[in-house]
Amino acid sequence: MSATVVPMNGQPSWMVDLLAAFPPSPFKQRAYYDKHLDCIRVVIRECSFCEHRLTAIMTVLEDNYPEPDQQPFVGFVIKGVEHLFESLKLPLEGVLPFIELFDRMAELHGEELTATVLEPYQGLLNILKEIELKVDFAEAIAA
Amino acid sequence: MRDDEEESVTVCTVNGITLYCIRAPWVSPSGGLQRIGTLAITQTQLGRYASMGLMSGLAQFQRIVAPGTILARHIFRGLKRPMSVGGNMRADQDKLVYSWKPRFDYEWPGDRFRDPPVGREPHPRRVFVVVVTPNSSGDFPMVDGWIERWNWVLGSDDLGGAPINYSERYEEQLWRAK
Repeated sequence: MSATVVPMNGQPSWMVDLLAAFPPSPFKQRAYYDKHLDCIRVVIRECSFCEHRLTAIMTVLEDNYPEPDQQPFVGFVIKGVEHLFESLKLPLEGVLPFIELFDRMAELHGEELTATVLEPYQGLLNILKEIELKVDFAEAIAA
Repeated sequence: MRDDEEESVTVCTVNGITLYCIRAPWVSPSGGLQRIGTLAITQTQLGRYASMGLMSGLAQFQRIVAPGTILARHIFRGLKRPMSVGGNMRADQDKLVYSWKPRFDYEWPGDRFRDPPVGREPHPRRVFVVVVTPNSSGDFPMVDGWIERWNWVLGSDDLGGAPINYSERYEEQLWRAK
């Protein structure tokens, strides 16, 4: 099978080169460690989003233009992961179910992450439970 | 090295590492001289957006970060949150945050090889931020800071182009446009 090269209409040459070196993949829901900013990013929808800082260690992502039938919250950022994992006595390696991490973090920071604070994001948390999203630290090492 | 003037991105390669460079106001983290500086991101880091299918983030880099950071209204220093990077337990203190209110937002749905990013009118109360780490590597003398992240946040009611609660979110305001 031969590849078909499709010109990228109007794209600058640097973008063409970038996408040749790093071909776009279809989006998939994921949780990954961002080692440059020491945080875990969870994203369940590809979109433009607004970050809302809930606490010093937790931010929620809201779709800037959700469809009427879509729930607006599309992800979390868990910050200060190295320190958090030390507190939870977890290694920064391997694969970890995100919901398990979230529950342990919410317990550790129960004074800030109360049920009332988290209530608006139950829809997102339910989706994350259903899809059993996992944080893969090997992905961060490769970044 | 080559220039894509209309896109405000300069591509350069140093020791086999490809960098995408843009121009931006630069104030040394100690608050010294203000000049036009160079911010950069490696091809590997930017390419991860494509590899992960985060194409709207890539469109925002091309259409907002690259041409727009030079128009930033504010630079803040210090993120005031726990962050450990490369053995530095207070890495948050070094980070710089550029903020302004772009005229358009972008998403990149559909076929990325045929269709361009789609422009959208941003929410009126949101501003755009770019997080930057000052360069400490002698291997890249032309780079003042490394672009780490970009996204929208809620805007301040009392300081145009600044994020909400900026005085609580950041250690200090380093610079503001006159």
